[in-house]
Amino acid sequence: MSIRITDFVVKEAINPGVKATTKEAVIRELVSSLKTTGKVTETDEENIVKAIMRREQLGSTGIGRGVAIPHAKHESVGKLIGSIGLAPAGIPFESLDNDPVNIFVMLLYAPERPGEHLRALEAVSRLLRDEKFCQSLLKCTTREEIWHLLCEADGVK
Amino acid sequence: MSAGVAHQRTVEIHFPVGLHVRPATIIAKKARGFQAEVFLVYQDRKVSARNVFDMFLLGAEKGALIKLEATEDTDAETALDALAALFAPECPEMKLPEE
Repeated sequence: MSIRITDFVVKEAINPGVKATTKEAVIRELVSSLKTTGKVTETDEENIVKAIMRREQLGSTGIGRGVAIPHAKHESVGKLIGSIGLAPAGIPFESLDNDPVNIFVMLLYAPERPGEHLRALEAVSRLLRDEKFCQSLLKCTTREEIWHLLCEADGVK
Repeated sequence: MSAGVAHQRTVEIHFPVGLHVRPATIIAKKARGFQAEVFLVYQDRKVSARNVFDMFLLGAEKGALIKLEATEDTDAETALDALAALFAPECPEMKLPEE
């Protein structure tokens, strides 16, 4: 059973202009965006940042072509949630191809629902493997534009 | 130039969460070191082991049987050996704390 990126990305947490310039800072910024929407509590925020950073220490989630998928499982998350951050200037992320990352898709999933993680990767990959889609995404300057593009690609009206 | 599929192997996925970010990245890194191109075949899909995005499209869960196919090249067998080793349950490169 496949899922769509718009099924788990929290629209209000989309960040069209990431200000961070380092790996840890961008992860903090994206988790903070989720906190602003109420999907992550202030109590859990630091814990989630640490979980994602621990995961990064095992190997970068920069999968090449300017895309990274920082993620963690966390008991505070009832179901899969995600956020998207754009950094047109690029942020060093020790990626597979050593290129800086422009597109971040952060995923948080419940420990007891690992299958959702795999489905989410499939959904993310369906869109981001297309370079033209990534170029269009990076031209977006507002949350609404990004959401509209995602919905269009997902076939959501 | 690589052409045709001359070498094959079948492996099983033992990664607890399936073919997710870490294993796919390790596989892609390894696959890029060979002249022969190795493909993963699962159900009706065939994707390059050099491409993490495409490997995610397989949605391959734990227990899935994947066919590895290498194009004809002098290092085809070596590439298959190296990649097949990554799928072994005791593979040290893959044995990391659970995500």
